[in-house]
Order: sequence, then C-alpha cells, then structure tokens
Amino acid sequence: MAIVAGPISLSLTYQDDDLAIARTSVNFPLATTLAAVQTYATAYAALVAPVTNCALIGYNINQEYYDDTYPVAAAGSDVEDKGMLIIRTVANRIKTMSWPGIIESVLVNSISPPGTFIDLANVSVAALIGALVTGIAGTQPSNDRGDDFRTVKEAYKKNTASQKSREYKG
Amino acid sequence: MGWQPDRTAAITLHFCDDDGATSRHVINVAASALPVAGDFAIAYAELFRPLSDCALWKINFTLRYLDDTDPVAAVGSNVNQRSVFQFSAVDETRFDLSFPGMVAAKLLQPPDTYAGIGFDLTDVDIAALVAATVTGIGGTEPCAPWGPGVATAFTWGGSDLVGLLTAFWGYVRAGRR
Repeated sequence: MAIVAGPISLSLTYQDDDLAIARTSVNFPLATTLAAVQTYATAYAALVAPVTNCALIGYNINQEYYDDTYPVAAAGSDVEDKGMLIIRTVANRIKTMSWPGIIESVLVNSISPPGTFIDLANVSVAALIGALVTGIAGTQPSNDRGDDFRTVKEAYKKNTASQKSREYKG
Repeated sequence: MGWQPDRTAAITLHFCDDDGATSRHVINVAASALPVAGDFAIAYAELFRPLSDCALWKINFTLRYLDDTDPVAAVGSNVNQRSVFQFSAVDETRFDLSFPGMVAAKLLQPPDTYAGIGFDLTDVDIAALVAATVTGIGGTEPCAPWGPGVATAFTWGGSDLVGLLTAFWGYVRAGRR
C-alpha cells in the first residue's frame, strides 16, 4: 500500500472580452518530471498566445498521486463526519480546515465546554499538527497567503454537508 | 515580467466514503517549497490514514502561474469559438485539442477549398504550436490521456501524439464565469 505519482497535466486558462473563461488541457507521460513540465509550460504558453484572440491569463500544472492498492472506505464511513481544525498563523490570521471521515477513537467528549473534541494528545493527531506547524523534512504547509501555521486554536468534530457526486467508482 | 508562480501551491486530498460520497481536504505550501512539495504531499497524505475511515483515493498537487502583465482579450473575442487541432496518436486513436479564441488571420484564404474554415498549417505560429505538441519542447512532449501505452515512455495509459490530421475552427460551449 503506497501512494505513487500519476501523470502530470497542464491546464491553460483563457478569458474573452466579456470575461468568460475556458481552458485547454494537455497531458504528459508518467516519466515526465514536474520540473520538465514547468519549463515546457512557459514555452508552450508563448506558442499558444499568437493563435488565440482571448487573453491567456494563467496556467496550472497538476501532479496527480494515487494509492496503488485501490483503497476501500470502511463500512459506515461518512465524508460528512469532519475533523475540524482552527489554526492561527504567524501573521495572527485564522485558517479553518477539515478532513472527512474522522474516526471515533481520536475524539473525546466534553461536558464543559460541551462538545466532541479532537484529542490533541493522540499520537496520530499530534503527528498531523506537528506536520502543519513545524513541517515534514523541512517543508512546511501554509494558508493560501503563504503564512506559516503557529498553533491550533480549536479542534473538534463537526457534521457538515459535502458533495454527493459519487466521483469515485470504488 | 510575465509568468509568475502564485504565492502558494495547493495540495488537495480526495476522500470517498462507503456510499460513494466524496469530499476534499486542501492545504497550501509556499512557492519557495515547490522543489520538494511533491514529497511533502505524499508524506502529508499518509498522516490521514489513522485519522480517517474514508478512502483516500487521489491527491492533486497544483502549481498555479499567472501573467502579471495583465493580458487583455481582443474586442469581440469569444472563448466558445475554438481552434480545434485533431492529432493522431501512436495507437491509431485521435485526440482533439481545442484552444479557445480564434485568430481569423490564421485561416486559409480563397481560393483554397477550406478558406475561412481550416487553419493554414504553413503559418509560422500554427506550425510552431503543432511541433511543440507533437515533438515537444526541449525533450518534453505531451500525450493523449488514454490508450494502451504503445511507446515505452507512455506506460500510464497515455499515447504519444505522432501527427496532425486537421485543424479548423468551430463553436464549443464553455463555462461563462
């Protein structure tokens, strides 16, 4: 059971003069590296620009990863059972994040204050928070502004609606 | 200036529960961490195995680039008006690549039978784009997203694009946002 790299795709984003958006997507063979696609993308965008009268406003490079053992969700699992983390950044901003299907064994019930909270002393929870606050092997995540995370302010379970797209046919 | 990376790249973890419903978790990493962020994405995703009973079935690591020169679309441009390039793949399938917007000056001119419909494949800009798609740039080349993977390098279902069959313009509905 391992997470392995899948193919990389490049998506170019265009905008016309009434602000409508459209995209072109091209794919790359598995052996292609992210660095190679980064170089290719800049050159390719320059070649696309002369053949469109829309504005080429951006591009995304998407590296896909997948589990090579075809993962199966546990019986009774529910993506709407969310683990919620409210984290303060070094710039004193608040970031709220969640993950689907939080397991019961990392939860603790509390009367005062009332609620179902995430046990911050749990080894797996502590590992996640460590990865958020101090990083993994020198790489640290951030909020979308690029601010590092500083400390967990709140951690609790919440039941919240999700899409029900059945995107995965597992 | 020109293309600049966004301040952060996004890592999206895709989860699925036992009745097929899906949900996502998104985290960012600063652009300065990009060289190793792929390794981080895998290590970070592994942390959720003991924390979720849903199946973690896909991870997307997305780098975003924006043009800081604030490009302006031509008056009358329309993303639904597409330049369609139809390529042949090494496994004898066809792959359509469409580019939103159309430059009329790149079309064939009378008395050509396909004047106003087909693109002039001898146009230097058209030829350069086709070459970049079929033979690549600096050793990197795209592929069709499906197929048996005939060529050695295309082992994940992609098929090498080997030639251009035709190029023309047409309308394809796109998002209007």
